[in-house]
Amino acid sequence: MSAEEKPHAWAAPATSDRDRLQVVNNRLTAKIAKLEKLNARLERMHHALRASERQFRLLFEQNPQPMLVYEQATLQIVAANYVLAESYGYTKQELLSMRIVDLVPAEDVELLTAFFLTAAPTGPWIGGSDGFADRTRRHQHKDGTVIDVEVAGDSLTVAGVSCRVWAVTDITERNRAEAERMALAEQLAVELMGQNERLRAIDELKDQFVSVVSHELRTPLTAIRGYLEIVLGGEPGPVTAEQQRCLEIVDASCKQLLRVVSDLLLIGKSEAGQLALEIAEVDLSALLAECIAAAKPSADAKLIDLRLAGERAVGPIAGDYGRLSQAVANIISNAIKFTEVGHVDVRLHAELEWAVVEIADTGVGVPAGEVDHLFMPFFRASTATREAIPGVGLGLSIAKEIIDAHGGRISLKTEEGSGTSIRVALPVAVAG
Amino acid sequence: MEAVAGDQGLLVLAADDDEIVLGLVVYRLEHSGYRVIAAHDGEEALTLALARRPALAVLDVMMPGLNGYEVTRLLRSYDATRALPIILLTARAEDADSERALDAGADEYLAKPFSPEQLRSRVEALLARAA
Repeated sequence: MSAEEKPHAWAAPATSDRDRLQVVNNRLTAKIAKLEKLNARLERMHHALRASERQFRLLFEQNPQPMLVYEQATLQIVAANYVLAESYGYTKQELLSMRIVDLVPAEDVELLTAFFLTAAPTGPWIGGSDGFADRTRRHQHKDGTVIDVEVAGDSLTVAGVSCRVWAVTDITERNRAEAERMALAEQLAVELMGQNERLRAIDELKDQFVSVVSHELRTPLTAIRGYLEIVLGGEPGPVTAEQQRCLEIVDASCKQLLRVVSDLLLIGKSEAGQLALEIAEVDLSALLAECIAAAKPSADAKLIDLRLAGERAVGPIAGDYGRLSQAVANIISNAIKFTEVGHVDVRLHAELEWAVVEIADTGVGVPAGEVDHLFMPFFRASTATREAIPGVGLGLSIAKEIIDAHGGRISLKTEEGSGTSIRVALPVAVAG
Repeated sequence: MEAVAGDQGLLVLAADDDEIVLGLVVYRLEHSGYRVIAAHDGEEALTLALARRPALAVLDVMMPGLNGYEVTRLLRSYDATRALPIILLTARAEDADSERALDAGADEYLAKPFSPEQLRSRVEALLARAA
């Protein structure tokens, strides 16, 4: 030791050297301890990092979603998870020697290569939003099976290299189901159109039938009524009282037949939206008086009191006098037909901007369950068939068509056994 | 014009493809003092109108070949029949038919079924107007 080689100064300096050494030693020991601690910490961190990396690797490897990572510049696959390899039929080793364009059908390769190298998106994206429709995004398994896929991707950097990660969803089944659904919908639409066409054809046929029948009936009716008029006029020779009575019945039946023909024609026209109105100013009061006068004989014949039971001043309305008369006459005729004893009351009053006509009878009424059908063409109430009341069931439907065409409303209150009341509301004419 | 024929009455042309209705028109007019020539379709009506120069024509609208509107239009195009009074018998009472009748150049129209008496008075009135 160098201290022993210098005896003249060994006591005090030797002590201080030893002390210094001790101090240094202590410092070094402390540092070592610190370093050991640091080392232990680093070791722990390293373990944690390894564990975390293992976890993340597992997350990628064991992900049930087929996933892969490829280099952006070369399109080389650098990682692929188990389920992707499994489903595509390649080993992971094989996949790592492939480029992503090796996963698409041969005919798509050129297009997709150009796209991936030049126009591939950066940042997160989901297939379909990248300019390629889902249907054109197809992958091919090793065994040649082509599948439709939806790809979600994102950019990432691995060891300084730009890569992209893909999560691939096989949507073949989804597309097939969708295509099936579309085909079914299309088939249904075609069937529906065919059905519509058939219904339209039937409807046209019906209109044609009604029109032809009506017109064809008018010609013989012209001859029947014309010759009747001539015979009844006594021109071809004298007519006995009995002959006269018989021929008048023929004439009345003829008129009835003509009314049915006109009704049929009107229903046909209104259903085809061709009910033309000759609009002019109509005095409802005069119209009702005329209708009541015309129906009076048939009411009198049944000893029914047909009367104008109430009338308040109502402004003129805009309407077709002939058609409105027909509607009111139909309602009054029905009321008389369905009443055995009592009266038919006609009332007129105003309600705000409406002129209201009410025709109430004390007749057989209509069962509650049939009220909704009363305005339908050819519907006959059970009371009508039970009581053998004549008619074809067009009167009320025609009245409704006419009132509707005038922008009016028709409604009905009835009780079986105690009569029916029909209410017609027509808009009062507004100047201008 | 052959129309003014003294005792024999004015000559009227009646055209309808329906024999029975035609018979009714002929009966009514003949029994009202007119002489009637009958046609069974549009072409015959046109030929007779030009050849016989009646004082008035009653034409059915719905005839095979030339219909009543067409015959009316053609008659209006010839000098000889330009002013011939024409009554059209329409099958329908609808406005469209009456409008078409007047558009074609008819003076009057009657919707089937018409009353023979109505026809007689229309014929009479039209002839009085034309005289």
